[in-house]
Amino acid sequence: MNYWLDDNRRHYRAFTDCVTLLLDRDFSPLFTPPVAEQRFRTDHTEAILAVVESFPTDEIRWPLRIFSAGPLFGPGQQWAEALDIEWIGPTTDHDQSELIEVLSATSVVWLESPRARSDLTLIVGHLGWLHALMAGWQLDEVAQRDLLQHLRAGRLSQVQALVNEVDPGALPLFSPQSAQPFFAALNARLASVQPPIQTWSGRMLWDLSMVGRRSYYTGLVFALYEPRMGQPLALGGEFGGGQSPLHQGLGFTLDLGVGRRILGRNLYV
Amino acid sequence: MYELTIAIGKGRVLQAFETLWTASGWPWPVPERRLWFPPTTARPGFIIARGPDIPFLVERGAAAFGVVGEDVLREQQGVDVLELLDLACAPCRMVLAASQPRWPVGPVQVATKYPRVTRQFFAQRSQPVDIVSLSGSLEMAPHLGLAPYIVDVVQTGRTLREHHLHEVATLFPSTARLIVNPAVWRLRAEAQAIQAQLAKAVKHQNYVEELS
Repeated sequence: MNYWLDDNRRHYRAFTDCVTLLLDRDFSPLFTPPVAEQRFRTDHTEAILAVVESFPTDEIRWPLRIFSAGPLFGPGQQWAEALDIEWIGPTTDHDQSELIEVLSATSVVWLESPRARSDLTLIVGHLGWLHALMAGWQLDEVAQRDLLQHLRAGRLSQVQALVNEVDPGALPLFSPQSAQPFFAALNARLASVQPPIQTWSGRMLWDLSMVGRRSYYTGLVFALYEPRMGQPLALGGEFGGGQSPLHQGLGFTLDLGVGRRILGRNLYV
Repeated sequence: MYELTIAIGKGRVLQAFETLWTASGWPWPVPERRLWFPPTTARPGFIIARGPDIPFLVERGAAAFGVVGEDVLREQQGVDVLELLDLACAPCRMVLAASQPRWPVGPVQVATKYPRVTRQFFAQRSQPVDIVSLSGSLEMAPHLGLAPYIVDVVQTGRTLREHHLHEVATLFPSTARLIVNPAVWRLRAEAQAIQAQLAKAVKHQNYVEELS
């Protein structure tokens, strides 16, 4: 019992460290119902946007800096405790750099020591580059939609078959690569793309098969892994494309259950 | 030394996968009554589990890889795994069957253990469907008056015939697939090596089958 309570205390302390860090950085908490209209919450971002939308947008100073905590529900009986951090509205390069800083700071609290930060690996994809590549391949709308659907569903065998038909040399872009070979292959196809993340201090790999499961991502998409964990500690990205400032921004979700397993070193893989 | 583990669905998938496993140069562990064989210097680890549990085991990282029928993957959409290879083994098909070989008219009652794919199939045809969820012995449902139609996986169709049922439509053909945990795929070099070995074995097996 005592061991279990100690574990709970360590977990809660890490969680409150994250919240304190966010409050100190001028983020505001926003509460959304875990169940509404007989539907369970599956995503904090959509729930946050629904609340923000209820305010007159001319009263809002963009980007809004928001965080929300609570369970997210998956298929069946599964659920996970999560902490969601968002910059809602038009963002700048400065906001993107801050996202990386906040991601680093809120993930490191789950590690035994800040030195273990180098164990964390950030896998980064980019929907904008993917759309530019598909346009360059002159794929029609149906083929583009199919490729995206296969990527979102994780059907890499189908993705490889489609890419192999149009541009076999682009196949390595759809598996994890370090920056040098990735950008060499990408820049051979698109005009001078620069790595948008310069400040991450841990390991970083690039992979266009990383598109996220959510259809609202339009630019950068990323997952943060602790190598011995089977699930990502954080998932996030950039969304936009709409005229309204509400429907653009940056953000990520920390999986507090994974954080707890990292803290407890309850490793499976 | 291998460090990663492959979870394999019991039954037809397990039987069919043995050929690919040995063609990959790995000794086949004799299952006996054991369900878990840790990795060794000669082969990856090996877990035998129920097919519907395989995506969950892989998503949670309990196994790095999984070998499971496409029928199971289609039913469990939304599980966070990556599908790497069509292993082209353990072929079967998902069918709609009934006592009479007649397409249903109007709202239809269907007994199945695949509610999601059944709903999708009838939704695409704008036909209302009432699902009777069963976990097995579906062939009995029309005779017991539970539902006039069933949706189930068949290999040869023999079991259906023995129960005086007719195939009305094929929803989709299915083969075994290799799936992987996304974290393992993106972070562990061994994962790429195992996938490459299995891909080579599949290619070789397809070539042998073409020759014969």
